[in-house]
Amino acid sequence: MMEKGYKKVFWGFLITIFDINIGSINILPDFIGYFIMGSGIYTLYSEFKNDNFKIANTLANFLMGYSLIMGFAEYAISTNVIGVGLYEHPAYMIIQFILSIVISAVILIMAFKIISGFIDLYFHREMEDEANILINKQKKYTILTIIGLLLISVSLNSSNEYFVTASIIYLLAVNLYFAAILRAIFRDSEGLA
Amino acid sequence: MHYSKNNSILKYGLISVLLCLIISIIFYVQFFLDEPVFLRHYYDFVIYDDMRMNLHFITNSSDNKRIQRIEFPQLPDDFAYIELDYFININGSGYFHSRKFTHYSYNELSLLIHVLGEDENESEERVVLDKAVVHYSNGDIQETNIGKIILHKNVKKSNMLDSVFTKSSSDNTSAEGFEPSDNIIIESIKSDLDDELKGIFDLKMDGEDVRSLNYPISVSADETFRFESQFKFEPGDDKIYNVYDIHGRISTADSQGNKGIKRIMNLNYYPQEVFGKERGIIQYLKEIGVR
Repeated sequence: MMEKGYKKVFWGFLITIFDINIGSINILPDFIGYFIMGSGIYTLYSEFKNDNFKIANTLANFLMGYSLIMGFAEYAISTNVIGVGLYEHPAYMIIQFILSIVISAVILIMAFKIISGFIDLYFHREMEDEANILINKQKKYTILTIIGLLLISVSLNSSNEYFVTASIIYLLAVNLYFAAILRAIFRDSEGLA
Repeated sequence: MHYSKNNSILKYGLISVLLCLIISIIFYVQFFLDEPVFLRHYYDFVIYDDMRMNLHFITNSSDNKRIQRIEFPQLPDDFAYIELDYFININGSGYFHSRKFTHYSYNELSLLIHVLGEDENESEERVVLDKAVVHYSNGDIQETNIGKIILHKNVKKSNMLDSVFTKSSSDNTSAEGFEPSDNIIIESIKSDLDDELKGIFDLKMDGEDVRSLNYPISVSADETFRFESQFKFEPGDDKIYNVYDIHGRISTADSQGNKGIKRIMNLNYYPQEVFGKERGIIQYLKEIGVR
């Protein structure tokens, strides 16, 4: 049962990182990824009652709802179906920018809580070595993501388009690092099962 | 808890991101324009049907609103009709050209002039436009000073002069050579913007400033003469931010007393180099007191 939970968290997170488009339609929208993640985290929580998993599950559900609503809202605003004039408002871009940083911060907290849940699980299973390795990875991931968010925040006033692109690629690489952490947990889970 | 240190890293890290974000936004907002800023255009045009005329202006780079219509209150209804050129304004912002920087975009919008009731046998008419009313897609309406645009209509064109070569360069110089098919007299070489061009524009005919020539000038058939022009700005001269495009007019007469006007091409200056970097735009906005 737990293995199913790991898999869902891993694949759900990968879906949120990559956008696969056919024409202008994203066939793997983020809300599907968060839905799969949320369901995976819930599975883990059912097996191991831990507050970190519970919080991570709440955040995954929040991100799912947000992605779903924003997907519709952005389309409706850009086509003036709702909020006529909102798309043309100069504050629109800034609000989008703030939201992207806030959402990245929420993703960081969710990822942090998922790792914390696994650390608690490892200690619960008396796998101290694995737990300590995971604590180290959690620290690295947190610091790297914070640096990425700081770079993105600064990029608002950067005229260098390479800096902006590099910041986005950097944050993508950090997200892949989190996916690699999940993959390693998945491998450890084979020993746990 | 075994990862309490990581909890602290997360907590203080997020606080630092929040502070950085707030500072970035405050800094960004300082650059915000309340409305687009149109450059001063000094155009002197002999108009013809479907002629294009471009307006240059600066917007916030984050602006999504588009220009839908431009009216010129000083343009009589029966003189000409000017509309957006939808075949040319095709870039992402709906403009002819748009150069996007961090805070601002430098844009060029193309307009199409439809001349109404043009007749060379009628007396020449002209209008001076210095105001435009701009209608945006979000419903905003902006009345703005656009400089001084002079449009001439019913200009009797001359076929006494043939252009034998023409060239223009990115260093704001140009040259054009003419050859009359018959003996002619040049009665004047002028533009209605001579005052505005004083000190920044030189136009020479065979090496001599056209303002100091003694008119009328007789030119024999097949005798080639050459015009050379140059826009040059003294350091600190704020005219460098303006846009200039002049149809220099050579008034000619032949031995039968037929008169006509021949245009000198490529007498123009666009401040693309000045606005090639955002620093130039910021400097301009400071000088006009917008920032």
